[in-house]
Amino acid sequence: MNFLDAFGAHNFLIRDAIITLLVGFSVFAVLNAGMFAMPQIGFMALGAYTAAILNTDHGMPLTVTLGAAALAGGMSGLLLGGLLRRLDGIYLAIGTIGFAEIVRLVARNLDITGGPSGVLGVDRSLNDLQLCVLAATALAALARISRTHIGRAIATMREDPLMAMHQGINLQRYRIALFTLSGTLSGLAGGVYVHIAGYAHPNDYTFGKLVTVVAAVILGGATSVIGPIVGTVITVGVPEMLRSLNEYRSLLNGSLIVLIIAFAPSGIAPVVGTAWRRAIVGVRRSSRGHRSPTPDQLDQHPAPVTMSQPRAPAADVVLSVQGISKSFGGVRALADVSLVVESHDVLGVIGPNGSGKTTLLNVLSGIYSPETGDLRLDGKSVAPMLGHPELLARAGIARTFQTIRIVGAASVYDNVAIGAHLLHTASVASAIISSPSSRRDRAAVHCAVESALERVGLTSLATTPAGSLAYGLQRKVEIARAMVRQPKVLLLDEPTAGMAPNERDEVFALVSELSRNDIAVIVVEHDVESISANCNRIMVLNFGRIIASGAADDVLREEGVIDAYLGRSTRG
Amino acid sequence: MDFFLQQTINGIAIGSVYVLFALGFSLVIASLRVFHVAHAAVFTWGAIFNWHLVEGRGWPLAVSLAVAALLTGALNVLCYLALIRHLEDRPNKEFAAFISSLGGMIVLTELASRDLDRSTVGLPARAVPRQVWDIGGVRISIVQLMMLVVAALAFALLHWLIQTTRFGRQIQAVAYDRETARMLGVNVLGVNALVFFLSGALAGVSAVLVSVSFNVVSGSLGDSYLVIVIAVMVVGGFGHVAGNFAGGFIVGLVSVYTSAYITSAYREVVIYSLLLLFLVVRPTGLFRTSPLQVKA
Repeated sequence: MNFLDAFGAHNFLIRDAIITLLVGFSVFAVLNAGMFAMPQIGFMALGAYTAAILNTDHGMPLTVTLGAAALAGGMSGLLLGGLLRRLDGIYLAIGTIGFAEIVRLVARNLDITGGPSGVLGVDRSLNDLQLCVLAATALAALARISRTHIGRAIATMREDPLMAMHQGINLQRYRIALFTLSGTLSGLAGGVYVHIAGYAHPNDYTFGKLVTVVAAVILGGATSVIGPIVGTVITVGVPEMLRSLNEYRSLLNGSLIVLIIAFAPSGIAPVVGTAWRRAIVGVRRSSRGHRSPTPDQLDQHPAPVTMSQPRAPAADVVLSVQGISKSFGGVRALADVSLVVESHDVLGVIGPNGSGKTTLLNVLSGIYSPETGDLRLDGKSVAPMLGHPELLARAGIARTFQTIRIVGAASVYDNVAIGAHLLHTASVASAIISSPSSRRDRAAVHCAVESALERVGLTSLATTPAGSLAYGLQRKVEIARAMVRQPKVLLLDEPTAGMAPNERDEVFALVSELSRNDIAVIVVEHDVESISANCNRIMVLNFGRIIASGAADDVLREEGVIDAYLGRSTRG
Repeated sequence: MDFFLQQTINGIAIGSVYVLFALGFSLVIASLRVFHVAHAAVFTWGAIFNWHLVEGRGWPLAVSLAVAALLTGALNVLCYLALIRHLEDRPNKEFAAFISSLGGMIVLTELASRDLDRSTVGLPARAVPRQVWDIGGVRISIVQLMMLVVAALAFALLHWLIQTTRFGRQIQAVAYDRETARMLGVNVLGVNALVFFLSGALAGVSAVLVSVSFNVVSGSLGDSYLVIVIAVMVVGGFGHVAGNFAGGFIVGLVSVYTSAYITSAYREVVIYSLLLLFLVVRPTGLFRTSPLQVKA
């Protein structure tokens, strides 16, 4: 079964490379989500020592030790992910590197782990077939995940965590889950390693080792599962093939990292991928767009999200805000703001710059938690959700942003599909095995996305990268993303800024249509004319206070409003 | 009691070197929001430069220390130009700069190991001052005194530079908002290069002090101090000068006490645990700075 012996003197190198690849997948699992975490060598050491001790001291067979190694890695991933859940960026990198070093140093000093000489005499019973099957399974699982809505959510949290939260993606839960996955993979790699090498030794789990693996993942590209494979092949293979280079392996690796970050920041795999696609262009060009369900799937499951017929206008209070205040340092951005929105309302919020308009939306969507005040949706208080965009999104609030937040490299279709994250109701496991219920979800999401695209008039651009669109069109992508999950309340932050007048009219026509379809809309705008023409109610903010509110025409005639806009302090 | 006092003095002395190393690190983090790990390799090179000057050319320590500091300063400017500068406008700058710096660290560390033929060397006996004072049973060596004095001088210099000079105001302006500073006529490239120079020089000085104190120079010198100095910054608060001082002395004392009262094998475990504890319980450090938080 040790068919890798066919590679002669290279057999150990290749087995080593496959194990490095397993750890590389584990690094990929977190880096791909934009998490700057590097605990993998620590997980690997835990897995290695668990397997080694179970095998030598307790005579456990291979299957048990490998399972225990994966479990040890996974559990420590869960624990560490939970402990470090508040950390971000560099802090996370530092904390996790610290964890890995602690594991190594403790292993080097404990009796049970054999101190500095490690655990010897592990049976070398893992054959090449098992090794390859394990690596292929890990690859298949990661590739599968990246093709589900979970993969889309992970890519979104990498590109824009704040926006991801607003689509109902629970970042903390995802982070902890990915830590656990990363731990499982590395723990397994550690178990595999001891059953090939025959020992567990503390010097195998150093920071230097981690740097090699991270280098491979970065080289290959941390945004696709092919990346770690390409990277490992290059970092292990190239110096080996060019014997004269072997001595310079570290120098080569280091320089390659610097060059890759400078010139091809997403790694080599995407560059190779693009060249490959270019080579076979024409053959499969048309089928390279978004993944649509087959026609019969669509027939079986008619779109559950319909927004066509206007319903009878029964006005219910959808959202009510009571006494919300928010300060930044000494600045009172919102002072005792209260408002009510009914189901068919389009509430326009206007006010001079710095009057608190965007702060209001940020409180309503969960970015800020206010010092005081209550928020009710459909009569129920959601005050505990304030400050948590993912919970408010689930409760039925959707928004667009003043500065556009889309994933530029992804297609228009995919950008809108991000907004439909919450329409996936099937469990994670069923999404991965593509169960009937998850296929139903996907068909439903597909219909919802298509219908949202049609309503903003972007159907023909569905496969275009969103970042390449004109400004006004990008805003429409955001609006489509916000409305695709049929929220109760839609918050629009200057949706027509930078648009031509005819586009502006289109957007407001869409807004009126949405409000007839039971989506209450709150729109922040500078353009008083559009607001007065398209909103049935207007609220004017100045210095964080409501200075006028009511029917559009009445409000705009009020003296206080004219004062605020013209900047008069006294009238003479 | 004497033993305790002796350990405390040792802790403060080594702590002041940690402070120097951390100050250079922090200066870059605070002004550029960049975690420049290659700083550790620049540190290694400080010890190597000094070793070459003392061993090869027979220079006195006081001169070689100054020259080594200038050389590491220049080396760090090179690092900035080759590793960091082109990444400053990237949306994921923090990550890109860290990885790029990691690549630079691999190269510089490897070059350092090659320069020393992968061996560990020590300074010649004649070059290391051996004077030791005995004050009431507590011994203070001239090297320890040097550590304290140099750390104090460096702190005073840095404080003076940043708080009172035009250059200091420029650093603060660039740290606050690079684009606005540029529009107001600040030479951002020049300011950043100077920040890296100062930071590298501090690394050089601390490396020379460490290599004189323990009489060890090797290619992995910087690596072994990297996590310690990270702990110093996390405990004290990233990019916070006074915090670095507190953090440096705390970590210095903790490491010396652990070696003295428990076992030196667990010295690092205790330091890393302190680091993790702070990250979990108080990630902003003692002095509540959070320059690296992602803005919403």
